[in-house]
Amino acid sequence: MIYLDNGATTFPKPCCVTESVFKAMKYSGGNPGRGGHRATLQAGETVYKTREILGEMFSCESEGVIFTDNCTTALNTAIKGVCEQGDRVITSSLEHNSVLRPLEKLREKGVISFEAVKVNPLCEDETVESFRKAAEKKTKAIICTFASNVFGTVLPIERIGRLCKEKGIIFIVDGAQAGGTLKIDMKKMNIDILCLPGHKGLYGPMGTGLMLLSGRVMPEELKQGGTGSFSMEKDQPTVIPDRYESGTLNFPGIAGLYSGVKFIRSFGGEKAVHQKERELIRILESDLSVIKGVKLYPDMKSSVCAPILSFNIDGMHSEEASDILDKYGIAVRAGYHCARLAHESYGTADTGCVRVTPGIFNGKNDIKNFVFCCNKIALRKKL
Amino acid sequence: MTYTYIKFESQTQGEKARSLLKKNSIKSYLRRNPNPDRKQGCNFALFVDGSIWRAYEIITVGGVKSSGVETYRERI
Repeated sequence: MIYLDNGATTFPKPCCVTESVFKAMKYSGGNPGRGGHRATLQAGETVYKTREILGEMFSCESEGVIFTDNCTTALNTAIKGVCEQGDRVITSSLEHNSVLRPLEKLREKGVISFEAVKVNPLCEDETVESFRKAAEKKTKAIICTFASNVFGTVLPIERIGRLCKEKGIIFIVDGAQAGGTLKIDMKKMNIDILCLPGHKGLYGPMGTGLMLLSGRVMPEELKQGGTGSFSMEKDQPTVIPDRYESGTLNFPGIAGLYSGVKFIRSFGGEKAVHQKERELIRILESDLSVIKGVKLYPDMKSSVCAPILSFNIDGMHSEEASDILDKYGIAVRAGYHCARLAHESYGTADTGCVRVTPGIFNGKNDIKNFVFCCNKIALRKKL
Repeated sequence: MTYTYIKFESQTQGEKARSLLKKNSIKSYLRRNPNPDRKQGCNFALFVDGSIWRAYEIITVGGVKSSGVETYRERI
């Protein structure tokens, strides 16, 4: 199989990740933070080391690293924990449903109102100006994606962060397609809460997610329960990360995530990952663009772009194209990618589009074989 | 035997202190506090190889939150 769906989850995972998960389950399976014996303390130490390495990677304190089960849970906690009755928030036209649906739910309940600002992928100034204009009205938070999960468009996060700082607005960022691939510096970008999956660009196992707190904003926790600390107190602890981590953590997942982050570091960090994946996208774009009947949806003019390329073949629904590719052993993601507004913005709401997301383990040959198959499909020829 | 240790409300803070001490070449190990405050419940104790006060100073200056230094006499 040629796997080009790393935007959904990176695959395969590095050997060090699978080994760490195995070792955590086989040799050090104590429940972290839940006892005094060696197995639990050892597990707790691994959990802390993971917080520390992630804190260094994203420029936040280690205790601000909160483990969740995925990025959606992190975003729900951030959004629902920050928004209060009567608040107004701003989001973008490229959001995933993990941002849009919690916002829609809060709007339906009459808690908040929100505005989705149009992103111009080719003009950063215009995008920032749109956010600035929307922020003229009293605004509690700006919640937006770092990079579109469909088209790879990167938002001017640092400039939006500056705007938030100027106006005293809380800044929540969905880094699902950027973490591990593009440099995210919470301090420099003035991000208050950063939400990430552990299983995409960080190469950890599925079932791992992160909510990273700068310390300036503490959202209300969504769940209460046992934390292994303050056990005789009736109320949920206010110290972090305990406040947000009730219940047993996914220790094997966290151990795997630790190795995933170490793996990225040994590869050369986000810059090296981005460089490799963007090179593959460049080849892909150049080869696909000469095939008659293939329409690309890249944002190649923007200087920084996540390594994602989407396309359609004339007269064919994206799901059909993806289905044929699957028969040839190629894994890509078609359809609407849980991003209604993004597809409406790019005019792909009727057919969706085929999304190609290479990863660290892909090579140029994978791309050449993929293009060969696309060419045949476009010509409606059997392979 | 009598032990002196630095007390922490959460394992994360205890591990953070341990990491900071390691960077200062001071060995330490974290345990569940054998003598927790009954009103508060479970917490953690950091045992230090060397001067506890030097370690306490390092972690306090380093911004790690602790609940102070305690002494505990082991019964068995």
